Parts: sequence; structure tokens; C-alpha cells
Amino acid sequence: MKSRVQQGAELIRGRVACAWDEAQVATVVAGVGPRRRRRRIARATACGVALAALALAHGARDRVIARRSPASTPAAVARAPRIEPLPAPAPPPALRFRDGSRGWAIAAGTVMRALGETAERIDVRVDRGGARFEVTPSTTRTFAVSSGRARVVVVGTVFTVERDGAELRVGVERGKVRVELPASEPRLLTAGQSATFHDEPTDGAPPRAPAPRVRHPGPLAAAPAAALPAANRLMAEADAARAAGHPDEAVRLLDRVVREHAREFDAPLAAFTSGRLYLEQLDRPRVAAERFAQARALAPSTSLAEDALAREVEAWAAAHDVGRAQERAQEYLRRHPDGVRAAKVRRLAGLPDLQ
Amino acid sequence: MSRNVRSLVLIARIVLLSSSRVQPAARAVAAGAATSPVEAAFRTYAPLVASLGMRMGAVDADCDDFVQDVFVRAVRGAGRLREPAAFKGWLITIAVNLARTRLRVRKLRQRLGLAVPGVALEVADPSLSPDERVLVAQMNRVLDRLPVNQRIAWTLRHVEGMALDEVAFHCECSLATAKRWIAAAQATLEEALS
Repeated sequence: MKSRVQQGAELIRGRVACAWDEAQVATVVAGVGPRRRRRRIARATACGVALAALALAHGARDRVIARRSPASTPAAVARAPRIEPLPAPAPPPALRFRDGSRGWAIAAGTVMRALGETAERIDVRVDRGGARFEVTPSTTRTFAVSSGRARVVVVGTVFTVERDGAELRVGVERGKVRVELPASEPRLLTAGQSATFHDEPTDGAPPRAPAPRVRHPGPLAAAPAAALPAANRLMAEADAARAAGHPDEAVRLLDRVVREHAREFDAPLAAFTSGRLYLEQLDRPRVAAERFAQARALAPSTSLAEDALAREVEAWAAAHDVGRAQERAQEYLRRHPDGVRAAKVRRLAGLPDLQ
Repeated sequence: MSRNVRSLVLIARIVLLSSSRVQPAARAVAAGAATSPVEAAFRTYAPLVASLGMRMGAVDADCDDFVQDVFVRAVRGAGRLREPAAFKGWLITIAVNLARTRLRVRKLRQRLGLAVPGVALEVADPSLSPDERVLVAQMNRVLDRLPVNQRIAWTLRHVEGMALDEVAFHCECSLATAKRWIAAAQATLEEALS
């Protein structure tokens, strides 16, 4: 079975292309000559400006040096090269595993040990202090760090686990981890996120559900993620929430993209995805219909608009609003008489087939 | 013979002596339908260059500027080519270098907080399902976050289907470096899309 990455690569290969016609060829070819001339002029101008700036800077430097040490000549001033000390070598990892995964203590007094290593799983325990792990990606092997009653399960990532009494802090630099605690749903953390969990020992009373405080992004955020535009960050967080089985959190984030970044590229897709989640997972077809309509309004002249209209028909049909379903279906058939979803739209709205 | 004329003559030889794919262009030149060797080479290779630029994420559907830039550089440097048969590969290398520059400029603008319009992997085929479109958009988001060299190397390998040594040739790096870039990009994509 193909992975999603393989499927995506095939889609990009097979479906992403730039169409050319004769008029376009003629226009672009005609522009090659003028473009070369403009480049030659721009290069010459840039060289001239650079030389002038260099001359000015050199002259200013000479004047500054002459003012500071009147006895020295400009040409004779030379600075000794600055010798940077070599960076201290990184400490060797405290734990090494056969698959290349490693663990380091990051705080004084850290107590951590490997509990076992097989082809299917690696288990580590952190009882006190903090540790950082680099885990070799593997789809067949589980890498789990336990601390108190918490268990951090990873598949190929760089993350830290810090234990301080009843408090456990997990931060992810790269990849994803799932944090499991008794009596609470597992929580997924992705690159740039960190969370604090309360893991109190039981004394006969029912365990208190932890209230993780998730920060996005934290100081562990990798530079590329932290530099992402806000809409992209929200979309990435929505993807993570969906993957973790939290569609309600995902639609909240997607609706924020539509509300706060309506002019950006991601907004129509966010509205469409939100509509799908409301329809397929949250059982709120009327809200789904609104989201699909929003996706259409945000990108009216794209191919997404056709899909969004078809989905709107489906949503109104699911809401048992026959009138609206038929109205949208007729709009779809008017706009896209040969549309790929014409037959489905007719069926959903209860319209007769053409044959 | 001036440098410009040498370049044009070389391009004409390339177009006329290449494989059967360029026969239509050669016939057009012979029949006088194409007005110049540049136009003939353009007709042959422009779609390839444009699609390559789009798939690397360096251009959107309006790819005229990119293709024009590539051909301006190609025309300027064609006189240095010794082997006409190497023209296509050389053109691809120019396209890869130009895409790399564009992607780096875009990343710099993002880091400086300047608004950068998203370059969508514009999907030409309307029969794609919404799920497929969402997958392409997700891939685009992850690819946008990759270091530029990783993105380009991965695209050439897994989207364009080039062999590793071809990827290394067009990225102008060693085979080991190309393999490392591709593996790093693949790992990031798998983590993000799993």
C-alpha cells in the first residue's frame, strides 16, 4: 500500500503542470531580447553604485582612522585576526541504543536508565531531572520514555522530558510525541510545542485528570516553524489536532484561519476542511453547509469552488433540508453541466437522472 | 562570429540534431514556421521548464517570468556548451538554480515578516477529489517548511523521478549530499503526513 507521501508525490507529478499555447510562446519569446537588455543595464548600474559606495566607505574609514591616530597612515592599520575559542565538545550521550537512538542528561542530578531494548521496542525511565532524546525514525519500533505514571511514546523525533516532583514537562523539537497518562486521553505534541503535566501518585482517591498547558510555539521551536506565517501555523496545528483525534479543536483552529486570514491562500482550504469535519465527524451538517458556502465565496473561480458546491448539496441533504439541497444542486448543474459530481449531486437532491 | 550569434547557432544545432521529440520543432524551423532557433528551442523545452518550476514550488500558474529568465540565461551561456546533446540537462540545471534563488528569497521575506503570497501547487486537473487536493496542499505546506536544498532534491528524485546521480548533477552537489538531503526531506514528510 502506498504511503501518503508516495501518493502526494504521484499527484504532484501527474497533475501539476503549466499549460502553454502558441500565443504564450510568442509573447514570452518576444520578451527574451528586451529582458536581456534590461539585465545588462541593471548589472552595469549595480556595479557602478557598488563601486561608488565602496569608494565613499573607504574614504570615510580613512578619515576616521586619521582622526583617531594622526600619526598612523590608513594603509598601515591592520587588525589582528580574532581567534574564536573552539566550542566545547558536546558531552557524550548517557544512553546509546543499537538503532542509533541516543539520550543525554540535561540537568544536574538527572536519574535515567534504559529498561530494555528489543527490535520492537526501547524503554527508558526518567525518575529525576531532565533528559533529551534523539530517536531514529522507525515505523516498526516503539521508543517510550516513562516518568512516574506518564509515558511518552515517540516515532522518530527530538524531544525533552523534565521531571520535577509531580510535574512533568515534555517539549518537542522535531517530529511528534504522544504523552499518555492514566485516566486521561493521550495528548499529541508536535514540533515546537511543549506541555506540562501533573502526575500525582495515587493514594486511594481517583486520579485527577491532568490539565496540560500547551504552548505554541515554545522556545524549542525549530527556526523554520517559528518563522511560518500565522495562517500556516494554525493550519499545521489543525492538522495535528485532526491526527490526534480532536476534530473539535481542529475546526476551532480552521475557523480562526478563515476569520483572521480571509485574504490568504489557506483560507478557502481551511473553510472546506472545516466543512468536511463538521459533516463527517461532528454530525453538524448545517454548519458544514455554511463552511462549504464560505469556501466557495473565498475562492469563487477555482476548482475548489465546484467541490465545495457539491459538498454543500451533500450537507443540506444530510440535514434533511430538501429545498436547499435541490436549490444548490440545480446551481451546481447550471454552473457545471459536465461536472464530475453531477450524477452524485442529482442523486443526493432527489433530482431525476438525465437518462 | 560574435558571442550572441555563436549561441544562436549552437541552439539551432541542438534543436535540429536532438531526438525525435524535437522533430516537430525541427520541421517547423525547416518550414519557416518558427522564426528563430530560440523560439524553436522554446517550443520544445518551455513546458518542461515551466512544469519543473511549478513542481519545485518556485512559480505559480503564471510561470512566464520564470521560463523567460531560464531562457535568457540559457541563451547567454549557450556558447559555453561543448556537447549539444547536453543542452536539456544544462537547461534543467539552470532552472534548478533559478528555482533555488526564488525559494530562498521567499523564505527570507517570510522571516522578515513580509507578506508573501502563497505559491500554490496549482492543480490543472479538475477531476482531483477534495481529498487529493487537501493532500497536495498538505504536501505543499510541509515542502514550504523544508530547507530549500532538501525540497529541490526531494522533488527531483520523487516527483520528477530522476536517478540519484542526476539529482546530484542538477543540484551541483556530491552524490552523498544529494542522498542526505533527499532522506532528510523524506523523513520530515513522512512524520508530518503519517
